Amino acid sequence: MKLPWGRSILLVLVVAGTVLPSAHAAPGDFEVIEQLTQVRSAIKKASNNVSCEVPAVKSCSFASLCGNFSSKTQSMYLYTNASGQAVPNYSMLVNMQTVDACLKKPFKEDLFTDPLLNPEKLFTEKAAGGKAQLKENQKRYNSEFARANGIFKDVQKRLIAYLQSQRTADNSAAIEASIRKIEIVSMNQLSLNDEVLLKTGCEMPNAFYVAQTMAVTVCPQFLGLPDASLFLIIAHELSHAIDPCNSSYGYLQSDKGTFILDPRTSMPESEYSEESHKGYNRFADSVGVDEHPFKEAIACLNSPKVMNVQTPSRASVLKRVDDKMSFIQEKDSESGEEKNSDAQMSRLQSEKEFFEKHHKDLQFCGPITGNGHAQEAFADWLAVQIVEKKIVEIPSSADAKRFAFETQAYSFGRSCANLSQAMNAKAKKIMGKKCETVDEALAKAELKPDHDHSHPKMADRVNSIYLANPGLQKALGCVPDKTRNACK
Amino acid sequence: MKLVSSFLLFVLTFGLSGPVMASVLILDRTNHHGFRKTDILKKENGVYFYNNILLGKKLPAEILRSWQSLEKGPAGEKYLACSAGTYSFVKQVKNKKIQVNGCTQGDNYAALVKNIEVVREYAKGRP
Ligand SMILES: [Zn+2]
Repeated sequence: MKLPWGRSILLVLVVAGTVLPSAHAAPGDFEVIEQLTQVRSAIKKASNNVSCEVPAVKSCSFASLCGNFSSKTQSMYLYTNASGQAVPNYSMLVNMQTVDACLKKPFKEDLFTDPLLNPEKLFTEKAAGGKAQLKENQKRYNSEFARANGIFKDVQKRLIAYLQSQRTADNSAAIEASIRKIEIVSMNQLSLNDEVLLKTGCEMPNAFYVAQTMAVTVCPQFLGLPDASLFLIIAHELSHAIDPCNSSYGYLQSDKGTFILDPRTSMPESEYSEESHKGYNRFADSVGVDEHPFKEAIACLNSPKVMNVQTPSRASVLKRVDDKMSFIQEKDSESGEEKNSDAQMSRLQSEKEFFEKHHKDLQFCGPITGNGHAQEAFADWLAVQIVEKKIVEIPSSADAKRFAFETQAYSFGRSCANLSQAMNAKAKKIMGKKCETVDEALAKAELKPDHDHSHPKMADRVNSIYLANPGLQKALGCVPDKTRNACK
Repeated sequence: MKLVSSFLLFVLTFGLSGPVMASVLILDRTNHHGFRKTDILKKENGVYFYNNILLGKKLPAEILRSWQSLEKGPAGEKYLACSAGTYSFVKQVKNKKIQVNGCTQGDNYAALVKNIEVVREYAKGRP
């Protein structure tokens, strides 16, 4: 069995004992660094034995899946398949990077040596450890990107076929528009010189769909994952192209074949001119909530018995805009800089009017209402329909089980409470009073992040959508939770 | 139909519990896959700290420039959706707090992160 990338290098490091505190550490740090050295050594020891077996999943629940990893809280990788594709313990990755930063990066070598998990090693010679290594790292990125891009094309084809299969006389126009919106999406191959992109959208493990650029980005930290994990991640992101918010965009096409968002479906009139879409023709129309080809599934997913999506009221969304306006007014009265705010105020006023006019189609748009649960639930649901179809085609039940398991595996490191709590506690213990933990700092600043409601909890998504799917249940051989029914 | 939203929300709070002697800047972000990262810059009695790492009373000119840019806070940006993730930026001076929320994409956000990076690298001792 092939080991995950970098494992062999790691073993050498442990044996040679080259992990030494650097000269940057302050004298008082040594005790903490000594403690961290021991922790790292234990982690490396525990990481030498990564399971290649798909565990038995007794009940169809996220807790049951996570339970299989209770002995892996010390391991850098949670699972590896026969092709050497590995699922990192993402909580450990993020926490250990925080600890390292707190202690002024006391070790020459990062705990996780895979360059995909430290994207800086993909674009700077210094971080990579020399020119030759940088070239080697970039080669690895390119080959893993090519693998992900192949999976993207497969998912895209399957999603289009699924939409075709759902066509009826009533929804034909909406299906056509949806297919066109899926067809124009491509995978975003990051330019490895583009520090800005890597440091923003890919600052941490991430994947996302951007409607303006019609592109799915899968960040380097996800690119080493098993094929099935990438299949689900990509299916989810591609599904966002027609989620209950993004579906209301229209797209235009120029004679040269380039596409743009139809500004008339996406912004107040005061924000664009006729010039902005001159020479462009209709390509894919806006599909409102009432015409959405999966409107029944959306209603089911949002219902109390499934995801219980609490769509913010029209009044509360308008209040958000009013709050912005009164802030600007208060700032004006303080600084007297009125000219600057005039433009902002009129823009907010047109946003407000636009929302009042199109409330019905905007009610599921996370960036506007502050609640993106309907979009996420839909993307999960459509993704699992595609996964289900894929699983049916896998002849051996063992391979089908492996595929089903691997679709879920990538989220364990971050979202399994047993794994993330163990790592958070370890990080807190090592850092002690030296560095504030995030929670302490935020509590002190009385900060309430606005993004708390942008995503539903992973456990709820897995239990109510992924593991409620009969195809996934059958493949995993788990006992379904009878209180949960799949939305159709 | 949808509107382009700058997705900037400002919250202004006066009279926080007790006088705060320090000025604090916090950048807290959560991405589309739920990963979260926080950076905390603090100036207390004239002494600079990054994530509680003591940086001293004087910063080199380049580092100070980044710090001062951060004090101005992020500039707004037009975005259709915060596809990659969202952030909260908090500036707390004495008993006044300003919170700005936005998208973790675009040039203005990148500029913000770049300035944080300058301070972080300095704190790590390898500018
Ligand atoms: Zn999503």
